[in-house]
Amino acid sequence: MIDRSEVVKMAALSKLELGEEEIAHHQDTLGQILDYIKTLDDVDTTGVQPTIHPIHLELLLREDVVDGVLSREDVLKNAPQSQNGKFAVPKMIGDT
Amino acid sequence: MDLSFKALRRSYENGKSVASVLEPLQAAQKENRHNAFITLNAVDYPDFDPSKKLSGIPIALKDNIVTKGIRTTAASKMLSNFIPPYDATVVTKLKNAGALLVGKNNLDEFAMGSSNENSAFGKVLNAHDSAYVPGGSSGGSATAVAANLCAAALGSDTGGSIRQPANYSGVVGLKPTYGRVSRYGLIAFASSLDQIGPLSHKVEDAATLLEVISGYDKNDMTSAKKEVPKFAKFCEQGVEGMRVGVPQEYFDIDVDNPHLSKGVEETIRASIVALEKAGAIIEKVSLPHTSYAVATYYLIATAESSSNLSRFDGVRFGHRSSSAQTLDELYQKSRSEGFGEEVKRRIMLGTYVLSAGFYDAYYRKAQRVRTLITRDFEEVFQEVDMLLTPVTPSPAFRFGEKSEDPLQMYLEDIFTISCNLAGLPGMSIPFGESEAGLPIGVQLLSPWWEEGRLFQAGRQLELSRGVE
Amino acid sequence: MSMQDWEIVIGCEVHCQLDTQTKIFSGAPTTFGMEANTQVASVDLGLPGVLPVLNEKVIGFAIKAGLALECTINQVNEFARKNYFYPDLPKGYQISQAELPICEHGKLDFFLNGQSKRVGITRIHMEEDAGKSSHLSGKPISLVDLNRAGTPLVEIVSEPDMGSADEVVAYLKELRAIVLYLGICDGNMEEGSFRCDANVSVRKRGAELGTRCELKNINSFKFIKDAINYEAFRQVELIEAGGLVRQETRLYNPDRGITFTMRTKEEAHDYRYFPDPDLPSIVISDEELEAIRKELPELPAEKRERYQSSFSLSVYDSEVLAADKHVAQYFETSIDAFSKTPKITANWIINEVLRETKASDVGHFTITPTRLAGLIALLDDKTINGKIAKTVFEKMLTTAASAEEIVSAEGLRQVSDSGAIESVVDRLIEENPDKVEQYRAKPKMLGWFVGQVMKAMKGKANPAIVNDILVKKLNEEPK
Repeated sequence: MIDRSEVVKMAALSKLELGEEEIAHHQDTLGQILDYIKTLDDVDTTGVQPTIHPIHLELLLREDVVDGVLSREDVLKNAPQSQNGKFAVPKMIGDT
Repeated sequence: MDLSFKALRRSYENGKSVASVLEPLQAAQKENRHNAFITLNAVDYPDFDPSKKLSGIPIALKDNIVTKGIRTTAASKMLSNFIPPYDATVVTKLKNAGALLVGKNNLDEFAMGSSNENSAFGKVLNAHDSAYVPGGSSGGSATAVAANLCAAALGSDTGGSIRQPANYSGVVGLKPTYGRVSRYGLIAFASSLDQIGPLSHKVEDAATLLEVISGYDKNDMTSAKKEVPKFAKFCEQGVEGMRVGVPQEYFDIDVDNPHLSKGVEETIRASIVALEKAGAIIEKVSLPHTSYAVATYYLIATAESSSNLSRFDGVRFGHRSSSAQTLDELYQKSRSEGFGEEVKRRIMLGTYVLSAGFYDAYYRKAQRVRTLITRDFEEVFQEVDMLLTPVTPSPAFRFGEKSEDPLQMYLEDIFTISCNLAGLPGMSIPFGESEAGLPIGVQLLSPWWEEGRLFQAGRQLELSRGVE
Repeated sequence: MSMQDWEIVIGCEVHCQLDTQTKIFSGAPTTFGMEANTQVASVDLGLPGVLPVLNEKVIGFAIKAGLALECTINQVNEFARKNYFYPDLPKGYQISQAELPICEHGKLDFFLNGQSKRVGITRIHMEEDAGKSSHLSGKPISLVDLNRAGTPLVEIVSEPDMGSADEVVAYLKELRAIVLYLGICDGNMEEGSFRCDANVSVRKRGAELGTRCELKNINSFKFIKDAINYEAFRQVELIEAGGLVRQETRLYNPDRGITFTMRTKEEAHDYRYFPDPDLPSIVISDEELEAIRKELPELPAEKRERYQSSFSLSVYDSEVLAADKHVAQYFETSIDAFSKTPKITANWIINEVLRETKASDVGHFTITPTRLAGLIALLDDKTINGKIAKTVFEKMLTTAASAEEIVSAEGLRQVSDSGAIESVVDRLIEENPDKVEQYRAKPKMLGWFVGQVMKAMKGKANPAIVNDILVKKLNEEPK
């Protein structure tokens, strides 16, 4: 079970705009899934370390040498809107 | 036409031109009867070059693998016009090996799905019966191979997305050890689970393709600095004395989980007999945390994906809503219009399990259970050399049969998911048929970095069915 | 209202851009001031499919900062994703560190008005910088430039241990000196290489901590001081008028000298931190850690102490000399060339050299430390007097000649020959009987005679001898 308000909150955090019908639908399916996920409560994980990566990864670092710079044309090529060589968006707070 | 690598090579060596092989394939690709392709590449017909491993071999790519200058959509409206300025590492490797990259395969949007019903470019049809799903998320790749539209394809596997559609479509599908193949240029779904791997007609072709695409990549810190064996050689080695475990939990599934269908059970029994005949020793083994794999997987995969998909915001690339006035509207409308329902569901779920107050109970908990699932495998591989399991509880289902019930759809992944959580290699090989005449495969799992054993056993299974 | 009844509590978060050639996770250059979106690799753009690859320099730089601030170094630490949407944040998350930062539990000691002060360092973590946005004037549009996106940063978080804007400025100056000494950051505040966020709250003396406001991105010591003072005053005024301080992020407007709301707590984010699955855990071996420890230079605090104990410099002088690594180096090179009078060398650097050049440019100053040492040696062996030394110094600014060469060429050697001085003095007494008369009544007139002798001898006379002779002759009975 999940509250409607939680669905609304998650949508806001995820930057998704949901209609009433969608909210109800997600409340339903997410609720079911979360109930199912509760089965994990049965597992005793005391003292068990979490796994972030499934294999051991050696730390191989990149040399501090310039490489792979894109042309400005490539940077902006897929941009829906750009101006003066920059990406354009509706005005943000704090910009002067 | 026999599109196995060996057969194609033989034709070229006998003087057949690349064009004569490719032209009929391209005609069929263009017809796109199964909707397996989203974009077809313009390929010119080079001369056969015997020094190159994949010279003249037509290969398709799941459309979440980035190709320079060729539209890459991830089957999402979000990226319907996205032209990447770079090639994925696997693409570069295929090009260097002489492969002909014929086109980009349909998939479930952002690789999220098990039926290929979640594509902004329409569903893909099963090559064996168009009333059935081809599986997902690499459904287009599996169908392209099954329908003989290419010699092989690359897919991606996060929770079974190569093996499950291979199983439903009757082709070979391999998910390599995590870190074996570079993820650079694979549009990320869940970074700690994703691997690129081959779908092919024959086990040997999967081995050859793996040889080409494997290896450490300086652009991917999660790729491993491991030597790449001559994988194709393993196909000749047989399974004499090899210990093969059959995990009991995969047959003895509880009420929450779908029942194993008769066809699947019979196929597994037959494969056991075949491997025993070839000299393998079959043992019953236990993977006690199996029933927690689906829950663990959907916590980790959605958490990672919710973050991975944040970059699709309508600012630098991708769909941008035309009706947005404010910055917040730009985000919300662009993302709501650009993403399909399943993608939104997973983003929301992932956001939820990472959010303040839930992190420890959900995400952290899942990571700990992931450790236990991995330990199960570590222990079992002390006893046996590999595992033999079903790929899915039942063969391909009909369109619409599960699409209204996401949880039931997720539970179909029960046998393929643990392998990703543990980072293990796994392969699906066609071995049987359902009453409806749809293919059924079996899954082989081996210890980390031991893909060779999958090819040994996989080839034996092929031989036992009389595959050349 | 009286600020006397109130205590200000301040903690700082300092972002230092690390002085690398390329970005933290891509090979794009970090050059400042280039044309928009020309310093961008696909990783910085957050293109689908790209992966971060960590720059080899970054871990070592962060460890250096940690060791200099006496932190515990977490030899296993990890990158985490901080998730939020903003147009200057290409991936929709910032790669940072959360639960397991690279350094924790350090401290920084510094002096303010001769008093020693200690500020606790909560943590230091590595992260990537965001891009920059600007407003397109006259239109409801913002523009985003990603040149800065992915520049490596360390964020240094202090405990709320500071009680005044002056303490904050002293803390920041010391911190800035340290990162410059370490060579990990260029410290350029105008270009944003060294930026400070300050968490400010007020409370009645001895009371519970008040609600804090975060002042963001202030880019000069003066603005930091003004912003904190304004903010503390604003909070006190608000509380005394019966209001409540709202937890929020505020920006400083230097033109109007005020702070204003950027976003409130209600809009605060749920950042959903989790370990970044694209990046391996950072594991630092004992050997690597020791190797970095050995590379650490002598830091300002150690230098101040040594200048006081080895050279008997005052607290003030040692502070000025140690505050900038270039000045300290200049001082030490001068001392290496002429070690007899470190106090005099220190005075010359503080009063003359630093009047001619900025501290940070002292390394390129035309009068090199060796040339200065030559001048001070001449002063020490009385070849020239202090006044002539200043003349020589002036001339050294415009020629490459040594002090010695200038003194010889221009005949500036000090005259200590008492015969020569005596004849000037005799003439002076003879020509100015009235002044001699005045001297008798007012001995202060001696100064006038000294001046006249020096003038006649073009300033080269040994002032001590001039003095002796004058006193003797003026006090002789008139003939």
